[in-house]
Amino acid sequence: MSHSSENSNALLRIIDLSVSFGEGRARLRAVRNVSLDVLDREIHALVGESGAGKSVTARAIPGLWPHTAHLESGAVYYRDTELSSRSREQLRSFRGAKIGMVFQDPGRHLNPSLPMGRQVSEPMEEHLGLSRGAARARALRLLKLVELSDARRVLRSYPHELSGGMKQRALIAMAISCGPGLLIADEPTTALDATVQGQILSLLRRLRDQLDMGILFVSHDFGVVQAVADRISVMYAGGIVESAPAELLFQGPLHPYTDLLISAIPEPHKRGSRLRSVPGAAPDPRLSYSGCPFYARCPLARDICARVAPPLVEHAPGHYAACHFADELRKRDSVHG
Amino acid sequence: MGDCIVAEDLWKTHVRRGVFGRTRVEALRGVSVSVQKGRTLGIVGESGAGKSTLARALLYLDPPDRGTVRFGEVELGSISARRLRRLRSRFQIVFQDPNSSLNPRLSIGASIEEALVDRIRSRPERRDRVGQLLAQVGLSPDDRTRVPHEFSGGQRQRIGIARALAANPELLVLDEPVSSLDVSIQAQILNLLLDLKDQLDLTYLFISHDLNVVSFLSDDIAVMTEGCIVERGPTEQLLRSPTEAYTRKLFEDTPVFHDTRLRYNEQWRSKP
Repeated sequence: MSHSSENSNALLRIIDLSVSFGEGRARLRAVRNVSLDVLDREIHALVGESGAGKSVTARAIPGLWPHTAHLESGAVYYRDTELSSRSREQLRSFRGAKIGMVFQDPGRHLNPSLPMGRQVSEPMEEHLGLSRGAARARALRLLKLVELSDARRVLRSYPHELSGGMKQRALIAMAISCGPGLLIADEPTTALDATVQGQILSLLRRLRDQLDMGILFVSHDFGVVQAVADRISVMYAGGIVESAPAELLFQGPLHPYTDLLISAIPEPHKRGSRLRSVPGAAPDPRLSYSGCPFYARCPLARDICARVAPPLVEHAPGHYAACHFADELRKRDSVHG
Repeated sequence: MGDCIVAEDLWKTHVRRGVFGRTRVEALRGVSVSVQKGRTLGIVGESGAGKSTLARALLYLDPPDRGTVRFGEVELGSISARRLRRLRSRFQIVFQDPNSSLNPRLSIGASIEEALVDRIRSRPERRDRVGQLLAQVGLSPDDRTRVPHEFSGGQRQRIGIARALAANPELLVLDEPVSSLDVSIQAQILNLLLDLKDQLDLTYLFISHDLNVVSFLSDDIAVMTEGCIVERGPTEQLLRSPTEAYTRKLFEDTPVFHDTRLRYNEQWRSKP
């Protein structure tokens, strides 16, 4: 998006990224011309429904994506280093040191037959060249930093002896162990219990402050995103349809899709009425279309929407929306607001 | 209004056999709960709190070790298996994963028809009723010949609801019915549940870990943890002033979405 060129302090910059899976008629265009920045110390959330392309975008970063994915276009920069043209091997060491990752299911990313101490220490021995003893001492400090009580016992434990929340804390400790500038968190609280979710979110915010990290945070859950994000980009059918500072986005969304989604979230004060729901379904990712991907479901749709894809345009400072009629939504806000 | 279902002092222990022998889990520890006819009781709690065990115990799918469940005038523990089977048509359950109650090889029409065999003898009448049920949940009667995997998650949940409704139940127990659905689809299913409740005078027991969903749908909320209901009250009151420490912690730590849009807030909040 256009603000990317103005910010020199972008930690991560994705420019015009397109990713597809498969070939020929079965070619599925998962990400379509996505550009986004994660600034220093910013928690930038990608939010959207399943199939919107959030995870593929977040994983497109340093060669994390599956082998079946095809990078059609785009460049990814970590500060001044271009990443997308590098090999997986070249990226491995870079990634381990600069970019940490946390996923939905912490259990799948831990080795069941190694004690936690080894798993937390090993990356530090590899990337920071620490001795075994030094890495272990640092591992202990890290586990305390992620608020694991009884960190000594956790170091000796195997993954199956820990609860889901404890595993996720340990995985966060591993992700931040080499002092990365960027943390990629893909649905990190989705599999956790409600109260643990809240604790992990405040932990991430605190770590961001203490360690000066930027976080690219992927979630389908608006409640989670509202609790954690500084900036939010809403994805739909492989593209970003709206991006704004969190508060602005929630006060006055400028894309009809965002607006409808927010209306569709149940809340106590909506009790007794029916929720507004988004009619229809997202377009088939195998199809190409010339107009707006939201056209068929949009209450504001007019002729131009079927023909011309609306670009992501800045409608208010820092507030971008890809809609020909975003200003109509904005005027409604200013009249009633 | 009388009570639709009343449970008193339910206890249930699960025995898990593992490598290191048996472990006993007290899933229900003296739960008493009732739902008035025509109302919706939401049960909220974290995983392992005993919500689903309670649902299964209430419907005698997995009878409690101790305690009584009264449905209308009938105490479920005191009747014969045969009578219980017949009574089952009056209370039905809808699960999070509708696939668990649908045969993947059977057309959805046949799956729904199965639930009608005991009630409607004539085949043509039965087929009419299937069409009617599909229409009632927002599907087309022509969909009857298709098999479950041809449908999206939201549509499959509609099919699961249609199958539960086939028996003309008075009480529907909804166990996390929208938890695996996207927000926009979730809204469609919640609206459908509200419509059906009005049309068919249903009573709901709604189980969910999602505070947004529970507080939207329920007249009353019961909070469960560690096999007990620790607090219960009318939705607004409970949300505004929870008294139990666990409830306060649950409400404080759970990330809940608040619609802060300037434009719509007045509209939603001004409703009577």
